[in-house]
Amino acid sequence: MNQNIRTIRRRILRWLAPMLLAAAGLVLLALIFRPAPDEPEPEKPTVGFIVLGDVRSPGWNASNYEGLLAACNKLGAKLVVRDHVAERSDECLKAVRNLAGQGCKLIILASYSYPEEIRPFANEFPNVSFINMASKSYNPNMATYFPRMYQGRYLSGALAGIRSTSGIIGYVAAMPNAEVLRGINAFLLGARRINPKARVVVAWTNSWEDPERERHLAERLIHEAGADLITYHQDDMAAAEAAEALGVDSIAFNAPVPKGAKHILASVSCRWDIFYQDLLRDYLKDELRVMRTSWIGVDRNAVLLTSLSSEITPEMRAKLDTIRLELVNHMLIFRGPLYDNQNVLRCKADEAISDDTLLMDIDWLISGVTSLE
Amino acid sequence: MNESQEERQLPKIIVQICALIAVLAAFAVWMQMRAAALMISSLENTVASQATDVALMTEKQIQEELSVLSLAAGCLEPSPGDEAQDRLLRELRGMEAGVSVGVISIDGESILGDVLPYRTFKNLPVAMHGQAVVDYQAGYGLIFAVPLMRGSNVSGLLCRLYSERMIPWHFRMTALNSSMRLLLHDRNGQMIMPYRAYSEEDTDFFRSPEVQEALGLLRSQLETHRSAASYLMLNEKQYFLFASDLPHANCTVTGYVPWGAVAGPMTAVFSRSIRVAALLLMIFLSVGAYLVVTREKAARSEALEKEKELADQASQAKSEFLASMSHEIRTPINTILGLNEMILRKSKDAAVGRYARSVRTAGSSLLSIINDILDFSKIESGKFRIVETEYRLSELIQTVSSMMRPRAEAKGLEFHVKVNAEVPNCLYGDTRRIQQVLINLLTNAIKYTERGTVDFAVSHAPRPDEDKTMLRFIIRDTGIGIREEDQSRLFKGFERFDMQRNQHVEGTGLGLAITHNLVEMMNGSISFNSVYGEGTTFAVALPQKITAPAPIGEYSEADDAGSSEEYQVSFLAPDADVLAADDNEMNRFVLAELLKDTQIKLDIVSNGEEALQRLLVKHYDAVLLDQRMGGMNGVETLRAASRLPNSFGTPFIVLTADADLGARERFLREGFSDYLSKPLDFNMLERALMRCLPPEKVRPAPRPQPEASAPVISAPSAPATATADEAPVFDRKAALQYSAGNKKLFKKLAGTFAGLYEKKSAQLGELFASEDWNAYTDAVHSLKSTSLSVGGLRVSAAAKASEMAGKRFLSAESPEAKEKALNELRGNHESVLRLYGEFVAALRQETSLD
Repeated sequence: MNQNIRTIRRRILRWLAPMLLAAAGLVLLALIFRPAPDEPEPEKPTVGFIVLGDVRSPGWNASNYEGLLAACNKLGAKLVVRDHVAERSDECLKAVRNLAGQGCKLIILASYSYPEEIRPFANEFPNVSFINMASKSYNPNMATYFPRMYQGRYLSGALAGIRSTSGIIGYVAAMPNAEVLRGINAFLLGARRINPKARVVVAWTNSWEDPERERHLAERLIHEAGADLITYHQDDMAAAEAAEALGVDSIAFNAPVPKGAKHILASVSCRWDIFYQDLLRDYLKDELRVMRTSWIGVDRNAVLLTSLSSEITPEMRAKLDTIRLELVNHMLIFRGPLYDNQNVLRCKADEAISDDTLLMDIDWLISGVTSLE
Repeated sequence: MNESQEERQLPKIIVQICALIAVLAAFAVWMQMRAAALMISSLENTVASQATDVALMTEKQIQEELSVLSLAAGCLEPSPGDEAQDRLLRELRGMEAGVSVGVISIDGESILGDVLPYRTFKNLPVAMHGQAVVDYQAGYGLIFAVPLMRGSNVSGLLCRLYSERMIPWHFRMTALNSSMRLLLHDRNGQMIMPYRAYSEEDTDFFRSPEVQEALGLLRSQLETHRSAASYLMLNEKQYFLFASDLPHANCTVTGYVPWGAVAGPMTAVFSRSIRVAALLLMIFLSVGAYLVVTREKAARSEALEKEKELADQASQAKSEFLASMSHEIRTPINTILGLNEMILRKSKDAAVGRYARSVRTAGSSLLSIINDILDFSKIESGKFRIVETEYRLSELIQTVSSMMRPRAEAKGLEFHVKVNAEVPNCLYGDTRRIQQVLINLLTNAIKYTERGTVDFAVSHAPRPDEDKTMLRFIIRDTGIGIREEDQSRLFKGFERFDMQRNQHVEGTGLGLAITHNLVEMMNGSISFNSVYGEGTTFAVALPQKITAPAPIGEYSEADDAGSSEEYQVSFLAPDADVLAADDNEMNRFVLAELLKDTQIKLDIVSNGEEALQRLLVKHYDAVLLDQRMGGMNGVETLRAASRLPNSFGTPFIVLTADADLGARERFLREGFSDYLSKPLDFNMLERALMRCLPPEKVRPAPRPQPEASAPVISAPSAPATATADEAPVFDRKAALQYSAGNKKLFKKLAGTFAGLYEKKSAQLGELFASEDWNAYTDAVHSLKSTSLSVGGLRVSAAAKASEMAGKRFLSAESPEAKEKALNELRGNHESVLRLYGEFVAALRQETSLD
């Protein structure tokens, strides 16, 4: 009996002792090499992205998403996406709450109306930086980032000026907001740089995406207004396709040009990856706090003409490149004197329109632009 | 653990300790390296955040500068080109040289104040978009520009340019501590603004490739970080380099700080914590080593204990094996002895009888050896118990003495039994074991004594309490004695001494060990006194209870009579039906043969099932059941049989080799009427049957020869070893012995012998008269052997003497020898004839009586 107890005790001692020893050793090591509480692991920044359509649908949605994804991958950030978020509902706010709950410190509101919807609630998220794309809304934790697409429009306008023989260019546009209007204005300025008599006829669709109407308007612009070159500001490229079908030149916007469509001369494109890289860098460097608006343009090679058609001769290319270099060297597109199509002087001869105005306060079409009746 | 092992352990321990120290040192080095790296990285973080702070402060200065300019720009626009504008610009320019202030038009022309090189500064055109800008250009200096707004449009820029020389005086970047050196770099690494007291040494420092490399590293970190810091070792000195970009401006705040300024107090903490950690580790390892050693020891002692346990188990197993082997050997010996008994009974041949007796002797001694081993192993395994009963000492002494006397006398030794008359006779004790002790000691005494005497004395030492006494037995011999060196080992098992001299002495060497154990188990004591070559005295003292105070009185040798060698059936039961079951064929045969003479009607079956079938149809007066049978064993058979109507009241006797302690009681409890242990004792078997069988079916066996008929011719108490002269005329024992106990055969032989007397004696007389010595010798030879076979020992001896003389005469060469033999022959003739006549007369009388 006694011997049994002794044997058991010895056995326990035999196993317990090294186990206790090992445990003590582990505790000791853990104590020594425990990461200090004031030395948190650098956590991976998480970026939220809210977008109107499907991130796989070509055009605005997919190109933004793919650019952002590439930037995140390059800079080691995590991307969380909320797509199919309808405007003018509470869905965007819900998406913001959800993303903030997931630890997103940077949320990109990639549709025009979102910032307006979020701004009243923005102070609820003091640790979140919102990126506002081309909107008038402002809050201390909201910064506006936008590509200087108008520089691309200016370049494409120059291309149109070169190619168009009639000097009448058809422009299918969604709605007359600052973005669309400054695009049209820059386009006309570009066209007039080559052909001072060039005109632009605008046809409004009142929708970002209505291929049928776009097609129809493009055809009307060609047949009724006499346009021999079509460009557009829509989320899809129906207008360019319609022109192509009619054998009329066109310039696409933010879209991959199908091969063999030689009448689609080029596409005004944004390198969203470059755009978002700059944006993410600013965020990571904590510079958003002093940035109210930030434009990224030709100088960063973020805005450019792509998919140049074989119809464009090397001479044309050289001409376009010269203009591009001027833009890189801070050539001012909107410098006076500028009159709108109501003949009101918008910018005097020794002035230039400021970025802030370009962003928010363009509500006029420049002289030389007419609307399709 | 013994010495040599311990010595061997020592270097092992040293190696272990060295290994431990090596591991400890390696661990400490690793730990220190890791801790240093940890510390550097944490210091880098600290320095980086300090850099951020510095950058923020610098940024604030820049913002202040820009806001002053913005304010001025707001005042400028309304009324360009007047006095107020000039004053404002002068105010902005201040008193110091090296500061230029001016307004640049949207085309880049200086339109007011100092002429400024607009195109030189690459970032200035950005300001034309409506943003404030800070730009640096080497050789020109640092320029601050704010847009001049006309409504929402930009009409120009208000700029203030600080020449390079002026920069340090205008921007006193606030260092967080006095050791911190700060600079403003442009983003290409061009130095803009050195700290004051910037020296050649510092130029060398920043131009050194290590620093440049580190700065490049910082630049790449600044791609995604607000600020960055890097540890640097240069010329044996440790530094932290740091950098933080200024937003809005193409500038970077850069600087360095010596290690000591940042890590000073932390180094102490660090080294102290290293020391504490090392101490803890040391304690931990020591405790660990201690525990390991303890554990090792515990394991070793456990292993020893386990080994001991195993050894004990092995020893136990050996004892048990020995016991079971002995037990197994007893069964065949039983068969041998049983069958030998049959030979002794049945054989008419004198020679075969002699052989059979030898077999019995050898068998018995083998059995006693086996019993010794069995006893010893039982004692070893603790199964041996003392069973006390009431007994009479006189009977015990008689039994022992009667067993030992013939052996002593056969060896020509004197055997004396001396009993103190005062010794109480009625005692209580284990008579069987006392007998075993005495027989062992006496057997040894006789065995080791070649000549002289063996004395056996019994006395007692009275005790104060009346009901107990201390019996004393003294066994003294004049034998070889025991060597002094062997005396200490005397009572140990398996020890025999003086092997050379005693090699012819048989035995297991266990006798004394058993004796010693038995005596001790009976709370007695045994001692001896021996002188080598002179003899040994064993003294045994045994405490015994007295049941009656009667003393033993004078011990009488008369009671000590040798038992008859001849087997006699003690009863006859021709009407008795007995069933016996045994699965061993030899046992069945022995049993049948043994009981043949009792005329019992014996049915023998080979197993319990058959026995039950017999019991189903027939009533038996007694049943003998072997305990160990294939199928049902004895007990099971009994249980089954007790339910049968035929076996009601039938006594069952168990036959078993299981002679364990308490076996008898166990079997009686099971319902057996009696218990017989194997090998079967024929007398015990008969006695058991006599007890069990119904008295009306048992009658005593007829005595083969009534005692009364003997005295006429012979003296029955004469010892068998008497010489021919003293031999009886007619020896019935010898006669029967030569007839194998068969009286009919003897009668037949005796009749023939007596019938031939006249003819033979006449022939002897004729041959003697004719002096045909050759034929005469043949005749006496014939007489010698024939008379011996019918018990004529004396006549046979006389005839033998004549035969010898006749042979001597016939073979003698010298006439003297022939004469001497002839005289002997003549002298002997008369006595031969006389004894012949006397013997035949006695023989006739003997045979006629039957």
